[in-house]
Amino acid sequence: MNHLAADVPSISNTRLFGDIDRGIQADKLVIPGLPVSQLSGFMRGHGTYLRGDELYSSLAGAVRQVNRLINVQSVKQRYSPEIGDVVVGSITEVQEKRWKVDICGRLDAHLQLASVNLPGGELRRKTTEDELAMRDYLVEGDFISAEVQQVHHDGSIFLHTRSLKYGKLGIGVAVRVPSYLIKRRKTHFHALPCGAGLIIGCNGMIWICEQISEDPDGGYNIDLNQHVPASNMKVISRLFNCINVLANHGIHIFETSVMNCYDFSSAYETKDLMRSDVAAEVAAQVIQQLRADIMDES
Amino acid sequence: MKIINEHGFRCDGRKAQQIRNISAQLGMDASSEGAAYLVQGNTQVICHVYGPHEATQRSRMQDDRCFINCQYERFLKSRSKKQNNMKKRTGKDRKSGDVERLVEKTFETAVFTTNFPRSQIDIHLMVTFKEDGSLLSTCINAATLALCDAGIPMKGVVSATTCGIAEGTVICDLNNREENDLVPRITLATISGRDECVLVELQNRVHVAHLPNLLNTGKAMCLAVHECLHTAIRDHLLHTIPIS
Amino acid sequence: MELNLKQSGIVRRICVKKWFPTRSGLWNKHTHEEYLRDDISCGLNSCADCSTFECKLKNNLGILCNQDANIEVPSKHAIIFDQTALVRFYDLLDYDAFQNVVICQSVWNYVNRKCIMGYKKLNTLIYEERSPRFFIFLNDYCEKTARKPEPLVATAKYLDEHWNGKLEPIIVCGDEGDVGKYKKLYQKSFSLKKYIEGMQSKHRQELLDKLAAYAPVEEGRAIFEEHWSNERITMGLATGGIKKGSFQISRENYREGNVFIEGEGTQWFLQGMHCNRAIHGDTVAVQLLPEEEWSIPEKALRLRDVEEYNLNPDEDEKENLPDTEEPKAKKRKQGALPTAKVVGIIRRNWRPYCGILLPSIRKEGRHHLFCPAERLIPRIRIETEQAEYLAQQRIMVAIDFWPRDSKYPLGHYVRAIGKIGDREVENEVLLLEHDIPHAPFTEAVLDCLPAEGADWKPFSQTHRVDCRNLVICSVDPIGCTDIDDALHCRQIDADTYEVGVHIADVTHFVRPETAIDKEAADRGTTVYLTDRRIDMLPELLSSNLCSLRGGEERFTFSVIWTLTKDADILSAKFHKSLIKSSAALTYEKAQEMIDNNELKDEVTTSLRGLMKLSKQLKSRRTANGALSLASSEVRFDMDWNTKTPKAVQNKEHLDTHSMVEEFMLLANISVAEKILSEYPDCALLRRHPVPAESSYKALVDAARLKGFNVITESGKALADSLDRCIDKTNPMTNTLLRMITTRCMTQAVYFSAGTIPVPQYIHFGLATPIYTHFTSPIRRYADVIVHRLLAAAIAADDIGIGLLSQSNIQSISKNINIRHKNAQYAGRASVQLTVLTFFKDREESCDGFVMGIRENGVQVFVPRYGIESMIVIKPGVQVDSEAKTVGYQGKTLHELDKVKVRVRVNSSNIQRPRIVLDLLDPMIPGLSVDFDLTSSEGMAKDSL
Repeated sequence: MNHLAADVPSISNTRLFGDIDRGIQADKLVIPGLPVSQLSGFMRGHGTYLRGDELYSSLAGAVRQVNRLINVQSVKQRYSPEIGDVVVGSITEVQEKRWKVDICGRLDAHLQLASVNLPGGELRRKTTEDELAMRDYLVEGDFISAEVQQVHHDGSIFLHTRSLKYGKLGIGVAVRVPSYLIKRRKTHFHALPCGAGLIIGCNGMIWICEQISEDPDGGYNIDLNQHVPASNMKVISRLFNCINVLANHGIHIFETSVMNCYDFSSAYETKDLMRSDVAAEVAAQVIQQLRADIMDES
Repeated sequence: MKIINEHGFRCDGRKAQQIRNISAQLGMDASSEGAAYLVQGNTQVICHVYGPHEATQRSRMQDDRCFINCQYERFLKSRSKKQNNMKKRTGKDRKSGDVERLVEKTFETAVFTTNFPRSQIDIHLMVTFKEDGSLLSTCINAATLALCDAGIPMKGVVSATTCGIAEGTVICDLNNREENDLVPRITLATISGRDECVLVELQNRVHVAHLPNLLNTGKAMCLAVHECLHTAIRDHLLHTIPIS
Repeated sequence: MELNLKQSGIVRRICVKKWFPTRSGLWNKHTHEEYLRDDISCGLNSCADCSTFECKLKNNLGILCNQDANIEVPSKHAIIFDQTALVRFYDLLDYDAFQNVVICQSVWNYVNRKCIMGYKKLNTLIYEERSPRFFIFLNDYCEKTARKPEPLVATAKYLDEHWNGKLEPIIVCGDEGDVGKYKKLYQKSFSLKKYIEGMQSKHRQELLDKLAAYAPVEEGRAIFEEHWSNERITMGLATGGIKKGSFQISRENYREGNVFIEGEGTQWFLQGMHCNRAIHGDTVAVQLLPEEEWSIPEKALRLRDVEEYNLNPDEDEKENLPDTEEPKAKKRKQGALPTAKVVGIIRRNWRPYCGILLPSIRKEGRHHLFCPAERLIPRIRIETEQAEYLAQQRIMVAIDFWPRDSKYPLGHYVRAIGKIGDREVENEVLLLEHDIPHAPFTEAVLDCLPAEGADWKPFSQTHRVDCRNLVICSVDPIGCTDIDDALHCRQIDADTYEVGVHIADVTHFVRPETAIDKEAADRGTTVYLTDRRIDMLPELLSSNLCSLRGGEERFTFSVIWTLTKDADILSAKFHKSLIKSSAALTYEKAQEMIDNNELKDEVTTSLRGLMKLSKQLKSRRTANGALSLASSEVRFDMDWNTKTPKAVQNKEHLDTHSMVEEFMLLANISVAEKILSEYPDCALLRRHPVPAESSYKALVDAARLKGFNVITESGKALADSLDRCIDKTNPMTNTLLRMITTRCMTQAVYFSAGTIPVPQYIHFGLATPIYTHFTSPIRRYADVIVHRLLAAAIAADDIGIGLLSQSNIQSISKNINIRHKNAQYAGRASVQLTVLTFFKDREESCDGFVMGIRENGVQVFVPRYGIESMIVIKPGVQVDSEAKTVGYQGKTLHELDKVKVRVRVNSSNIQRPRIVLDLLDPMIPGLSVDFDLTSSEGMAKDSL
């Protein structure tokens, strides 16, 4: 950088690992407006468009080819929900018979009154009284975990919490990370050995709490004034910092990487993890460990 | 002051059709979807892109496409700190309104807005330090980079440049000293360096005989700028694929 | 990440920070970038790498071999001059002895800032004439030499390395003291003097002569205050304590001057030592003195010629300045003007001056005083060994600088013009002094003319209207060859007439951006001297192809009006046409034809119609308040064989003069309206600012003495009150008062519309709200531009590049204003010269009038010859400057009194013959001095 840029926010730390092989070949990278393939007969997928007879890229990213389908995957994108995704979101509006949930996607998602479990675990049809009492259950600002039920073609999303593991979230900390760092896994609810619970939402919201419990009440009756012991709080804050370290260094976030990071970070104080040099060290160790794991597996 | 002096060079040592140094950085700010920092000569622009997300300006929301909202700010560092704190001048004058509208219109053509019905894409531009000419083109270039970083599908990388005519010769990429001279200048933006213009903005008056020459040179320079932006994006991509 | 793809030649980029002080004492930072290149050509002809680089100049160095041309530097070498050398000695570059000269860009920029003449000279030599002896090395752009503490040394070292022995760069500096400094860093450095001494050229002695020896200043000998340093002046300007302005010496008192503050329009008065080495025309920085020290101008007339006439230049070397020279500032409180003193010179406005040498008394003396022809410039001390030879010549001298301990500025001799008194030489001096381009037209210009005999003949073009059927005639003075206007008049019906003014279509031949156009733009106007005429356009155009000769077909640009019989304009149209003039008449012939009732042919009817309408127009103009003033200029009948004056012409004003004048005015006004409506931001117009009340003081006082009340509220009031000033005892009084009025007027100037508020467009003298010049494109460049604008407005011609640019028009106006003024002065100076020639062998007694009375003298004007002179009264005569009377031997003399004088030439000093007036009646002994009061501007306001 030239010396005039003294006032610019500091460089994202991904540059520090510039030499690491990220598994992508350089010639597969495209920018918008470049032709994607020379040959015709391909089907176009996401991130491409047809101009005349040729396929052009509309995103900046890597070209992926699956049989006859070509698509371009960009690095960062707004979260695009798919059916079955576990998401963590916050309520933005209470409307007639439904709530609107902000899941950091292109549009807010809808949570229908008919798709939630009422307190008491009853499965019954909702009456008009229930409609009026919607505010007793969820108000603006509440966090919930839910699953994507439907995605319509115009982009509107419908969620449901029809399982005991989903519902309103109680005492905990929400962390927002870029959604591309989150891979879809079998389970997104983890009880960590260090003594905390982790819900990794596919939309980039991660919830850290004391423990994962399946509340038969659907989570609506949690007392938010409960006292949380100091040791638990320490664990939660350390996890918070760890997840931020991983996010800043472009490392995928899943159970193993979070745990590795937590272990390596125990050498430092929690507040030191916010310093860039300490964070870089920890991240380097995590990467090493991950690579070692991959080598072990293969 | 003559723009091209008697030795055939411009006041900063460039020839008539050489562009200034371009310095670019993408993705430096995790708080927004896409971020870019572009320096053209001494003009520095930071651009943040948010979106596409739920439209907050209901009046502009459209059912079949998203709309683009642009905010342009000038942070005047030349003022004292006290003045800045007391009255953070956001520069809401006519010129900033013009820049905002032009950027919105440009990208409404370039971005595939039909992919995101009822959404909104925010582009925030901030000019830091004292600007040194060619402001609109720098803003457009920065916005392009930020949009690429944010993963928003576009027809192509929009590159812009400002060209003027002085004493019969076409000069490219004017700096502040040259812009003050009432030189007719045109800001031209093309997609992917091809022959398609998405933005043409003219300041002052130019004789119609000079116009074809000016446009052709402008397009050639846009291609040169496009090469620079291409390299910047490529470099950024190589460094940001997540490590698994 | 820095990206600068596909930039050829740029190596790196640096940011330069500069700090400027502001009014409130803070410092503003200003940053700009510079790009350093590696494709800067070194200039060597045989250098293979550099020949590929794009460069405005051809690689010329090394073509001319100067091996063994100099004892000091035996090898083939290239000279790098430093800035002192170029600023002082740029004249020397003309000599072929200096070959392979490299001029560094930093030196070039310095010369540009400090010395305009030097810069002009360099520009001409290098960029216009493409002299192969020079090359400019752009060291500020070249990466290897930019931003180095010693730019010359860095350049020399770089070139030395680069040329690798093919050519050796040497540094030559103008000041002996600098040589040591350079020698430490770069071996091959010489002083200019040493270098010239080592030359083998035959011009060696001449060159050495031109180098003056400057002695260092000792404190005890300093006469003037030191000038402030540049930083101190910049600070002062920023905070407002110091002002910048243009310095003008007073015409009446050479020890006093005025500074016209830039941008504010005010002026401050300076006296004596406070002028501190400022020379007329310089841009100076002045500081206002405290109020107790303010003073007023002396009422006496003090001219350099009178007081310094017999001074001995050599005495200056040892004298202590007597205090008697210093004018005593009378501490009168009332009327004291804001007085200031000069604290620094911002920009010198020196040029080479023509004049004569005042030889030193001592035969072996090397220092001589040079006396410039321009009386506002002080004497200049030069050093030369050729004094005897030069004493008989008119020479050109340039000023170098003015040290603190010298009474006069120091300069050097540039060249000789010719023998004093020789008419050609005197003419040449006149033209040089007034900066009038008079060289013959260059090849490039002549190439722009249509070839002889070629098919240039007028043919019908599509946009031209064929007016060959109209009866058109032109009316001009006898012997006029450049006829640029012709008229016609046709009665359409009982109440309407069609009148047309046809002006020669010069712009058809003079196309924009050609050499002939550039030359005409530079000349600005045709200059009329008594014995010759310096044309703006080559003769083929001015006297032949553009001139509307009788009986020949010519292209014109026409204005056709439909007028009522009361001369009201019903409509006006403009178009280009093709005409055939029926007759090219003189004023006298036209008047004869009109008066001769027997002539009833078409031309005469046309003339009568024009005359009738013009009378209407004139009466309407007078009713609006147009002024009719008298000028004190005279014209001579010349004997064209010997080019000597025969007698003064009798100016007769015929009706036909007014007739043509009225229609020319009407055409100018109509065209002005048209181009202003089309181009309100770049039309070229002419305005005459309303004079301030205070400038009429001389007129009001003079009229009051005679018992008349002149009202100066408005143009009309002035015109009417002037008409009422009829003195039955003396018919000349009215004319004299009109002459005084002319002198109170401001100067009419050209300007571009849109640069000043619309109410200021008026032309006071003609009482019209808008005016321009359209009718004489052959002899005025302003008219050429107006033709182009009008053609663009009616779409009759292409619009050239730069025509519709306000800044272009404004800069053209500035130039033609200066040229017009210079041409006027040159014309008057030529008349004065002719008067001198006329009186060489004769004397005459004439009537004269007293125009002004001063404390020490009387101003007398001889209307017959247009001579005005000051007669300095010897002490003993009672002069009452308050009551404006002179008493002598019982008689009193008042202003505007008639006296009798004898006019003769005093050739006692061969070098400067002067017109002398002796008062015959009343007989008052005195010394008559040449006093040029024939300018039509006010006494104080000289600047434009």
